[in-house]
Formats: sequence, C-alpha cells, structure tokens
Amino acid sequence: MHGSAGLRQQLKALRDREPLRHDLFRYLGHHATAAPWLPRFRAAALRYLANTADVQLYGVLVRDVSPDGDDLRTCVQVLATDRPPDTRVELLALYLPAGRIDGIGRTASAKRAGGEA
Amino acid sequence: MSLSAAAFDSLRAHWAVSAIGADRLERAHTLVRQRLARRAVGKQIAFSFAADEEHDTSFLERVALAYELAMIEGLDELSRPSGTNDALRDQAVAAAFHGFDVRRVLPVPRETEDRLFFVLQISAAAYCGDRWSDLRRWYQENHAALTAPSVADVSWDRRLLYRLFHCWVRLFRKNGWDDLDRIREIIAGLRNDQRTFEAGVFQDDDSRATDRGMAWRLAALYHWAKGTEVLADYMLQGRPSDPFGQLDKHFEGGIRSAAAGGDMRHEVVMRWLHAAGRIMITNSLWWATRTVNSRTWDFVRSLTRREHRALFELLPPQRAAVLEQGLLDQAKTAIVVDLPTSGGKTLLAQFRILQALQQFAPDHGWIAYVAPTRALTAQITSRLRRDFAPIGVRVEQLTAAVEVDAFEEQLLTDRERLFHVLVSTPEKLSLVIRNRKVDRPLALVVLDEAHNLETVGRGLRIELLLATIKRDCPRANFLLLMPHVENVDAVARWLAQDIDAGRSISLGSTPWKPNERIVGLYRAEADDSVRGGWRLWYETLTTTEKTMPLRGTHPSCCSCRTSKTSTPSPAGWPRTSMPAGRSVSAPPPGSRTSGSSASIAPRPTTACAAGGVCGTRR
Repeated sequence: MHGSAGLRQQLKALRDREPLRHDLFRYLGHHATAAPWLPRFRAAALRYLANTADVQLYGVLVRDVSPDGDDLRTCVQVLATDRPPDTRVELLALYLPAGRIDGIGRTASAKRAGGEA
Repeated sequence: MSLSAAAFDSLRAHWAVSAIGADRLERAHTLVRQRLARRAVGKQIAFSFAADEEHDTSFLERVALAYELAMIEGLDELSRPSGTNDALRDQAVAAAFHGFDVRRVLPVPRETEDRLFFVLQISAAAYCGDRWSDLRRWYQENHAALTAPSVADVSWDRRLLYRLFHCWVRLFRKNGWDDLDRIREIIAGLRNDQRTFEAGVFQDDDSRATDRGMAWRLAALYHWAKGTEVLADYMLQGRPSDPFGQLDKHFEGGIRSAAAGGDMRHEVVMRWLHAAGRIMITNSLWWATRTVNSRTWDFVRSLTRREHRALFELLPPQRAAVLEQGLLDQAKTAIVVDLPTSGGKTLLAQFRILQALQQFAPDHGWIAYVAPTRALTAQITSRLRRDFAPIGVRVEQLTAAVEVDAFEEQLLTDRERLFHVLVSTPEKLSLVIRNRKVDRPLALVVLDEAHNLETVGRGLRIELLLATIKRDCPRANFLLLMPHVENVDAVARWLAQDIDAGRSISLGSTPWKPNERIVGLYRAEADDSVRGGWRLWYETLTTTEKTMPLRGTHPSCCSCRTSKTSTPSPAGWPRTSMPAGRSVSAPPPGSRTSGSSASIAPRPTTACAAGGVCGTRR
C-alpha cells in the first residue's frame, strides 16, 4: 500500500508522470486491436490525445484483514493534493476473510478450470 | 513494405493522428525540423525559433504517441509472415516513420530503465519505419544514451534486461563483425550466470504471487535472449536459412510470458523488437541474396567481415530494387535503375556484376563498367577493387586517352590473367568494342550516371556506344544507373533484346531520403559595431520537397569580432570546424550572396554548410 511499489505510489506516478500514462496507452493499444472494447479504447484515446490530464485512475486495494477506513484515508489525501483538475481518481477497497489472500491465485485458477477451491 | 506517398496521405486520416489536428500536426513537424536544425548546425547558425522547451516536449510526446498508436495497429502485420493486410502494413510503416521523426528530437529520459526502454523503442520504430540509417546517426549523436548500466549488485532479472539492452544496441548499430559477434559471448555469459543468480530472485515459496510474477518475467527474458541470439547469428552468418520460424517462436513465447506476468513494459518492447528483428532480417544482405549464386554469397560474407565499414543491410531503395522489383531477375537483359542520390547504386551494380560473371563463367565473360569522367572511373575502380579483391574478381581501368596503348593491349588480350571487370569512359569503351580488342563475350555493361544520355553532345556518343554494343555484342546485358529521369521504361525497352526482357526500376521518387538537407543563401552584411567587421545571415529556402522547409533569416552564431586570432584558409577566408569533424569554409564576404546547403547527416555527399562566420572585410 505505502511502499515504493505500493498502490499509493503507483497511482501517484500515473497521476503525475505523463510518459507513464503514454506507456499505458501503448500497452492498451496492443491489446485493443482485436478486443470487443476497441471502440471504447478509441474514444478514450481521442480524449486523452486532446488532453493528457483527462484521465480517470482506479485503485483497488485487496486485504484479508478487518476493514479499516484509515487504509484509504491517507491515500485519498495524498492523491487529492495537487491533483490536476481534469484527472479523477477512484479508490476501492475489498476486504477478504483473514488468511484468504495466500493461495488466492491457485483458488482462482481452480475455479476457472471448473474445480473446487 | 517500402514507403509510399499514398501511405503518408492515408495516415493523416487515421483516428489518432487526426485527433491531433492538422494545424497542430504541422506545428509538430515544424518543431521537429527546428530542433533537428539546431542540433546539427546550431553552433554555426543562431536560429531564432521561438521555443518553450518543456511545453513543446510534452506536445511532441503526445504527437509521437498518436503516431505510435497508428503503428501499433499494424505492427502484427509487420511481425507475422501471414500478414496480408497491405493497407495496415503501410499504415504501420508510415506511422513508424513519423513516430521516429518525432521521438528522435525528444530528450532521452535520465532514469536508467526509462532510458533503456526509450532507446529500444526508438530503435524498433526506426526499423519499422525504414529509418535505420537515420537511427545510426541518432546513435552517433546520443552515445551516452547507449551505455549499458552496470550489472554489479543488481537482481538477476535486471541483469538480464541490462545485458539484453547491450545486445540490442549492438544489433542496431552494427559497428562491424566483432560488435555483433560479442552478442554471442554475452548470451553465453548469461547462460553461465543463470546457475549462479537465478535462485536468488525467488523466495522459495511457489505459491507467492511475487515468485510467480518473477517466474513469468524470467521466462519472457529467456525467450527474448534466445530470439536475440538467433537474430545475431543470422546477421553474422546468414544461418539458419529460414530464421523467421525461430525468431517468431521465441518472441511470441516471450510476449506471452510477459503478458501472463502482467509485465507491461517488457511485453510492449518485445512486440516492437519482434517486428524490428523481422525487418532487420529482410533488410540483410544475406536474405536479399539467399537465392543467388555462391560467388555473391562469398561477396556478402566478405562485406560483413571487413574491418572498415562492414555492411550488413540494404538501404530501403536497395532492398526494394532487389526484393520487390527484380533487379536480379536473369530473364531481364536490360535494367534501368532510377535511384535517389546516395541510395546505394554501386552495391546494386556489384550484385548484378557477380550474377553476370557467374552466368558467363564457362565462356569467361567480362563486364564493362562505364563512368562519364576520368575521376569517376578512378573512384569506381578503387571501390570495386576494394570490394571484389577478397573474392578474386579482377578489376582493371582503362585510361581516358583516345587510343589503346601497348599496356592496355596486353591487358585486354592476356589469356593468362583474365580481367573480369573493365572500368572505362564511354569513348574509350567504344574504341575497345569497335576494334574487337577483347576476344571474350561481353556479359554486362553497367552505365553509371546514365542520365547523361539526355545531354547534348555526350548523350549522342553514349547512345552510339549502346547501339554499337547491341550490334556487336548480342549477348550483352545492360544495367543503367541514374537519378530520377523521365522515360526509363522506353530506354529499357530499347536496350532489351525482346520486348519482355527490359525492366525499369524506378525508386527516384520514393519518400526515403539519405539525409536531411537545409538549403539557403548566405548574405554578407557590414557590421559597424566593429571596425572593418562583417557578419553573415543565412536565409533558408525551400527548393525541393526533399529539402527541409525552414522559414526565416538567421544570423551566424559566433560573436562577431575582428578575426585577429583566426587562421585564414588557403583561399584567404576564415575556416572553422563543425561537429562530427566536418570542415567548412565561410563564403567570401565581398560576395552578395552564396548558395549553400547544410547537410545534417555526416554521411552524405553534398555539402558545405554554414560556419562560424565572421571576420574582417578586406
């Protein structure tokens, strides 16, 4: 959440560093060519090319502890400070039962394959 | 895959490019030209372009992104052998062409990994946009950006990335055989390092998300390394004979692994390098000559291994001539090639010469290489001797004298030491042919600067020579080399023995340019602030569509003092040095104006340029 690779830093970097957002558009461009969401990508890219601050960033925090509003409060304050007027940031926190994150990937794979977790 | 003007027109209507707006796009290209001019001759000319560096850079990055989104849409068409959508392919090439144009004037990021990805992406875009010769210039001007970071105390995945960066810089710049050969050593070194370092990046718990992410990342990097090795091997030796299968296998594996690991940057750069790698193979001398005879194969090997100016790739017009327009089609007895200046006509002639020598080997056929002046024949002889000596092709030159002397008589008739190529002026060759001095079949006539056919006087003599050869040497093939002229089809048809055997290869109007060129006029003006002082102004002009359009009149750059300390040139006017070792002379200050072109490329041929031009009137 707070480390150099944590959610807050990732969102802050995306908010403040235009080259990073450009990289993201290139990446999405590769995946959009055959995707059903191509028209939405183009519409978004058109807006972005007109104004590179016109973006909406989403941050999703997943934890397996008891819910705590403080988890996002500092993050919101940091991201709200000096936010470009056209940039929106939306944060979402998902709290899972304790101890469920370890092995979540395996569980998801098993579910996708039609098996039991 | 060659660039076409139509593709550039279509690109303007692309959704991402048109989103920038026509006026702002024009503004972007003006900024690019201004930055290029400033970097190339900014020490000599004080350009007075208005600029807001930070704002302009952000704007240019946005324009580069628009072009790159257009390139990305067609990148698969460039990367896959099954690509059949020519329009998308052309779009990708044209967009990459412009994307490179913009990116090359952007500052290189300072942060290490940002820099590495920037260099790899600009290099890949250059290949996709047929700009590899411009990329080599960018490499020369941005040497610091190419430095591979130290691998001491970095994690195994970073060590792999840094080493691969080092390999790809070598692949793109190709500073000779050793530069490429070192790639194999680097990859072999990585294989050894794997045993030592790989375990250190895992945390011994295969259920952890970080370990899984790292495993995907390493799988991607290993594929990338293997693909790099395949490409380096091919560029060095022309083996395997079909390198695309292996290249595709490793890059597709790498891209899949990077995608599975959510490694956005690695995935994107591998997609771009995959396309660039395929184009590099297609551009290579090995690929262009893979179906030709063994003599040509030996010639290519000698070009790739020579110490000075080793050659690995064809320029875009050369590639188009060989691969797309059938330069080496043996059924064509007369080929007229119209290529831009500095487009590499001599190499094309060399391929055709070797093909003809092979074809006429049982009869000991010979080649006539005709150049219009004594100086040019000497220059051509020197080049052909240098290039052909390693493969045992003997090149001789005739003097321009209008008689065949005893020495030349011996040379032409010697059955012990047969010459293969004879370099001559048209008049002297005419003498040799009419007097049947060589008792062997003439296999091929290469006529350099063939546009002289259109000149009064000399044109008639050349036409007579060609007519004489047609009559007296009925088996002879023809190769005419010229810059852009009209009616090349008619010339090819006239020379061919039958109507289907002539071919014109017209690449003179291709959008490809060997360099960027500014054309302008100097104006000398009195400078009353200094006793006897003067200074020069440079007015840029637009002459042809291939010169860089820059508006305005700009003062020369050096502070204008009397030239007590300057050393007069032999002509009596001050000389000064330009970057990249070019030396230029200021025009005589007494003259009102003086035409000059400032060439941005170190390689090309034309030019003198603006200098640090101030001095004392005499």
